[in-house]
Amino acid sequence: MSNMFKLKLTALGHPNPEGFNCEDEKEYRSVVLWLEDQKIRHYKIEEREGLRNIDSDTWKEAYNTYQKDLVSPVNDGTMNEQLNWLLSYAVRLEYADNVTKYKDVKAEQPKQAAPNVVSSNPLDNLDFDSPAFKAGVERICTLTGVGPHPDPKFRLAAVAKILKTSPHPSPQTTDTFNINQPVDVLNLLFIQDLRELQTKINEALVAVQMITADPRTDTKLGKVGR
Amino acid sequence: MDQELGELSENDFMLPPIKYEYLDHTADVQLHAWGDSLIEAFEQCGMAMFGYMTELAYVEIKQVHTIEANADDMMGLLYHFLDELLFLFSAEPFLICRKLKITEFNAEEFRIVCKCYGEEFEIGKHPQGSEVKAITYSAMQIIDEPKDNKFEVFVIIDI
Amino acid sequence: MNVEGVFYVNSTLEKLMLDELRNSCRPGMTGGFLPGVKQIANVAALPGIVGRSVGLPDVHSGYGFAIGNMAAFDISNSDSIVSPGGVGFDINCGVRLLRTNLHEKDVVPIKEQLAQSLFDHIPVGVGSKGIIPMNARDMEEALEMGMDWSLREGYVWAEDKEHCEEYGRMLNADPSKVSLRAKKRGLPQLGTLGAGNHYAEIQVVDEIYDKFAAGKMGLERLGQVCVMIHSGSRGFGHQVATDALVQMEKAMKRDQIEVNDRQLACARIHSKEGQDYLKAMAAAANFAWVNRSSMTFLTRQAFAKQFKMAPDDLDMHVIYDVSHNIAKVEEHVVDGSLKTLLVHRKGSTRAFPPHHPLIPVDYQLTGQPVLIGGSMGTCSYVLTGTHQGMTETFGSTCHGAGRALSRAKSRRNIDYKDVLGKLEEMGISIRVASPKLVMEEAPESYKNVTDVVNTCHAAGISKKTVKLRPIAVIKG
Repeated sequence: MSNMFKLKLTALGHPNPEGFNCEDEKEYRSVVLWLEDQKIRHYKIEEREGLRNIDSDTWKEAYNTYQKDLVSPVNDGTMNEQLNWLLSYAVRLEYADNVTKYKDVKAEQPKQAAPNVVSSNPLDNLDFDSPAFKAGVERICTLTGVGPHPDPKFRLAAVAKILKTSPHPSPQTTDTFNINQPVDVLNLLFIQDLRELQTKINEALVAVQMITADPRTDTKLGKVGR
Repeated sequence: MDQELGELSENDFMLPPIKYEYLDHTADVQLHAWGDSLIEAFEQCGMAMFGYMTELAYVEIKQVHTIEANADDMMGLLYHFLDELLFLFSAEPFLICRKLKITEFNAEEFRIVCKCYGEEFEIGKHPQGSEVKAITYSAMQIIDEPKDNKFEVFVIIDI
Repeated sequence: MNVEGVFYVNSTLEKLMLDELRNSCRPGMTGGFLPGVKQIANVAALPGIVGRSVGLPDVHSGYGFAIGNMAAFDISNSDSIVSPGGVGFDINCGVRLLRTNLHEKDVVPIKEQLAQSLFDHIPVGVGSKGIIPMNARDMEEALEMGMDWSLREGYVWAEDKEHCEEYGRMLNADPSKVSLRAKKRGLPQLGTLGAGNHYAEIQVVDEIYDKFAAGKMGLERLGQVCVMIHSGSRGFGHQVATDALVQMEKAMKRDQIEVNDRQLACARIHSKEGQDYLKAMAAAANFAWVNRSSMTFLTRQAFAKQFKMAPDDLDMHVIYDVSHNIAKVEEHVVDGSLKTLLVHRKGSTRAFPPHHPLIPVDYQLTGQPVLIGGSMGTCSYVLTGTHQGMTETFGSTCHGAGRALSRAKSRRNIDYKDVLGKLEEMGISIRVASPKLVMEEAPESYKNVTDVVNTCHAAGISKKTVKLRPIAVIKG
């Protein structure tokens, strides 16, 4: 996240994009103020008083109102998500103000260093634009619940992230892998069935509880609720 | 069996001297009690147990209950005597005893009848000591040597 | 001896164990208490034992069996025995862990109020009585139904049951095999924490060793707040054990069962005494589950009141509930063939590996969570069961810290104010019914739980998952 902040702040011409630490509450607040003062300019100068009081307890409140006034879609997201949106918004405004200046700018294409090296990584030989690749990504995305994106590589990266972070047993690396893998799959399917059964049992228990439950405490005997 | 306060005589309020101590044991505590007779050693041992549950100085004599214990041998008798006392505390009437008086001690048929003087345990009035969970036969000793005037008992209680 | 006796230690724990042995062999030690090492050996000589008599790292001298001993008996062998000493007096003493979605920083500012509120809600200490109204009939039903009773009455959630060993109910429980005396002792105590080493603690996640397993338990970040409840079947279980010992002494004479130590009173599993004990023990186990469930209910109430939020909004789910004083019928592989065993675990926790059919579906991939309560002021751990543990110790691991100093010695050598001062320094609030307990339960009196847990981890009989640090303690 902080790398993205750095890029956007640099683009916007912030005086110190390298040193910005988004975890520091104070720096965070001053960046918000800088964005409004220099780029967004949604409020009149005298209306920015709430955002200007960086050390005040009421700053948060002013910030919330500010986001609402801007109709930020992430105003109940995390602090970093909120800032990221503000930065993107500022970049959009900057672009809109200077369309003629920016419209012909192209990202520099990094030159390929050694185009003739034959890669041993099978992934490198994949044709990322082939319909087969796209269909495969589509399938795995449905399974992992990754949303749509025009670039299939981007989606694949998201899938990789999910597989790396979500809890699942570490893969076997021994020779028996070929035997164990189907066993593991069967185990997981079995566990899924069992979980569904257990959930149904719990639902039944709760339904019965609705009729039978009447928990009581005899407060005379203890000091409960004092 | 219960007697009302009015039926307690002045004599019942006379407190015996302390003739017991607590000895070391890994997880539990060992009661060591003695007296001028085996009867007294038994009474003292019972009091030692109550003394571990609270501070006896806070206990008033308001009620008296009678318990009976029977067994097949002397150790069994000591065990069941203490177990009856523990039961008196653990369930109705939740009696914490200040004083014990053995009125019948039959060393042939192994039978004890004992009057227990004290009051219902009340949190707030009586400091909470350790909870005695059970009596054990572990390392139990009964020293009954009238010619040396030596009467002692050792009991480990599970706490 | 019929089988080998073994124990798991590291060098520190080995020294403690051998010191215990040396002390007991000193001339003049006629006290008759047996050190853990000898007790493990005596158990290895019991009729019908299979595998090995295993001492876990927290092992120390106990009644008959050492505390921290696992022993399994072949049910198909008619000589095999069941022994109340192998279960312990506090039947189904165990640990339950609740999670919350709170963070340490949400709790620290109101820690004192929260500790007080928990202390007010949960009855603790000697002479305390349960505040969930019960009559004799409720009691009979609770003994038979275990957590199903709590569920029916609305004290717990359906999901709680799912995350309990045996689903919180032993089906062979038979209240008619329990003496009236035990029921009378148990009735006023149902829903009470007890005294001694029992406690309720507010803890925070201090370290996560296995992110995947911790995630499955809903423990995802450092500082996440949990509540641990350590309690058992109170006077009820003790009376059941005491009653059984009397019956078994007679049965031993009749069946001519010879044991090395009188405290190892036992009966053949298939005898009337053996079966009666197992049925009564199951009722006591149910008692303990209802007990921990009642305190779960009270804990949720205390938190709900303090944070003015419903317990389910606080995500106060039971992560797991373990029993560390129990005997269970289980199937294990012995010498290459599947056998039905009666596994005694005294001061030892079941630790089943991944994919075992008896563990909840949510933990099928991680292995069973094992909850290891520390001593006052020290950390607690969550472990998971392993395949190695399944073969080596019939799926058993340690249960806690295990005593190192006697109570009397603790009281003599440790100062009350020092202990409280130290706890305060560590940022731990404490509410305790009996002041002398503070010395008896001081961390110095116990073996270092980290040593114990690391030994189990290094031996491979269970795997470290999460470390929890206490921030408030409620004790008898």
